[in-house]
Amino acid sequence: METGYLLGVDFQTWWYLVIGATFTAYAILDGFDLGAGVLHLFFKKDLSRRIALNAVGPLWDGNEVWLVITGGALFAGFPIVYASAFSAFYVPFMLLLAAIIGRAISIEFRSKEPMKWWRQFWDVSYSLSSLVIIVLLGVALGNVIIGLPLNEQQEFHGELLFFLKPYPILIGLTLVGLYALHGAVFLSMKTEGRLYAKLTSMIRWSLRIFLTLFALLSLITVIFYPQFIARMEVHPWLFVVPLLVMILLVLLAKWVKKKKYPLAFAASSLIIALMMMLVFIQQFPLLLPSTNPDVAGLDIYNSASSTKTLKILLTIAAIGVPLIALYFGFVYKTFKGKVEMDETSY
Amino acid sequence: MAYYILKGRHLEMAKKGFKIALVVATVSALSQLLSGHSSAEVVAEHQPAKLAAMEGHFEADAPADLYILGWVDKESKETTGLAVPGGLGLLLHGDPNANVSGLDAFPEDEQPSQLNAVFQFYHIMVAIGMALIGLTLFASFMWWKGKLFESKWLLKVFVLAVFLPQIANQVGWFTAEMGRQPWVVYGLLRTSDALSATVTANQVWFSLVLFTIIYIWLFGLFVYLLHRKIKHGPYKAEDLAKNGTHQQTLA
Repeated sequence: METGYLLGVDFQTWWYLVIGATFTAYAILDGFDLGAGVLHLFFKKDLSRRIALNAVGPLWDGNEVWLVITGGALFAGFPIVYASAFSAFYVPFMLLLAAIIGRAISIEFRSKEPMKWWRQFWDVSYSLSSLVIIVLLGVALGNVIIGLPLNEQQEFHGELLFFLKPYPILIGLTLVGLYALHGAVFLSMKTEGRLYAKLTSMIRWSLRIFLTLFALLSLITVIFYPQFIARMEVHPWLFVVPLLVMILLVLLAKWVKKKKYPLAFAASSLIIALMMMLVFIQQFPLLLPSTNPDVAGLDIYNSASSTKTLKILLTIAAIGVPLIALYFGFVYKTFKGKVEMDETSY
Repeated sequence: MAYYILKGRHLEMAKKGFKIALVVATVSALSQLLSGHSSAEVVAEHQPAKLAAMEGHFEADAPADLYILGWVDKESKETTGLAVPGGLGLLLHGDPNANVSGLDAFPEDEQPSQLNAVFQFYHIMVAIGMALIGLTLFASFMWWKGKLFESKWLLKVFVLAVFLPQIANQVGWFTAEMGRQPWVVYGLLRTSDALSATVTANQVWFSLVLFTIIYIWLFGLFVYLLHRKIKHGPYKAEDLAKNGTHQQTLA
């Protein structure tokens, strides 16, 4: 196939890296506010909930931008994957959209009325929709890893609820554990002191739950899906990645104990990035594997846009992504430090 | 603002606010004439079948009237109603005798199927636009006469007029989307060919119902919260500075 090269790497691979980077950015950034959402109902007092909500208040909607960018990047660079995946996941993605809307209005409307039932309703809706979003994303990711039933035209061809399989659901639940941990560390960093006792116990619990689920997931992968670690067996140095995750988890626990929350947050962010890297390294160059043995999966070569399109896209990304990153740097700098409650608070 | 004036609340702010709003509304209502006209020129050039449906113009190549009110009969290929003779040609080409391509210039399967609906939605939009121009100009005239806040009925009309731009916006979309059928990309891709190969009708039905429910829910919340905000009225600056007691009601 004809293609162009940049620094000895073909355009398709570059675009795969761009998608990997934007999706990882999404996983880290929306991860902490989704995690905070899952933990929300464990705060009992109204003031605690408001503090927790205001910690993510100015940041959550911007974080979702990275999901939009990832979807757009997939559409532009690998349109066939986009078409197959979004058709296959039609129902779960519609539910995902509904949950994203539900979450947004919960955050915005919660504190507009003082009635207890009103606030309780939006609190439950906020927490539940956060949970649904994480599980659905994890289940979708899990299905992309194990592959989709594709027909001869490489279009999805399966049952309505095909995505509800044990392995992807386990990935979804593991993601809930990881995000709860990430969210609790984030809240600790933003609310130093005020919710200390509660958050410390949350971190401890989510760490335990995540470790248990992660161990279970690893075990099942080794026994039932050895092909998912095939690349690691060929290149043993790749075991550095899961090893680093373990080291970072130990460091995270240590830093939390010493109340070095920014360091702990950096650790949980890195853990998410490394987990995403594992997936992207193992999948390469496949984007959508096929479970149908007679049909090849969709990879970055048989599903890519034209070389010219990829060139234009890479140019746009080279200008646009740093601009977005710069903007995010500005926003996070503006809202850095502890939560302060004033008349514009949620 | 008109609501506050009618109720005699927050008079000072409401009167100032109303005047500012009136200036903006008059200018933007009038500018709709320009933007509407240039949009129509674009439609005439790129989507002639849509324009023909909007004006119920059937003859393949003949002078076209500009309807103010009307009814399109698809079977008999006739449009009856109140029209400015040659008005469409006059607007498009500066000549009432200019020929405009009508629906007959296009094969049956390249015309929008809901002709009367396209016509009616389009004319509702135009009528609302004209009514708003009339209303804002009249109110500006009353202001010039110094009688702006004296007629209660005018203020009542303004309270209800809040809905008009929303309605115009929606029916305008209906016109645009129904009028371009059967194309999803005009002249290139038919809507019937643009369907996802593997998404079933039931799935689409599911999402349609889901989002209808969500939007009804959102609309209800919107009306409820906006209503409360309007009833509450503006915050006084000194209150804002003194304490944050109103914080529950702010975003």
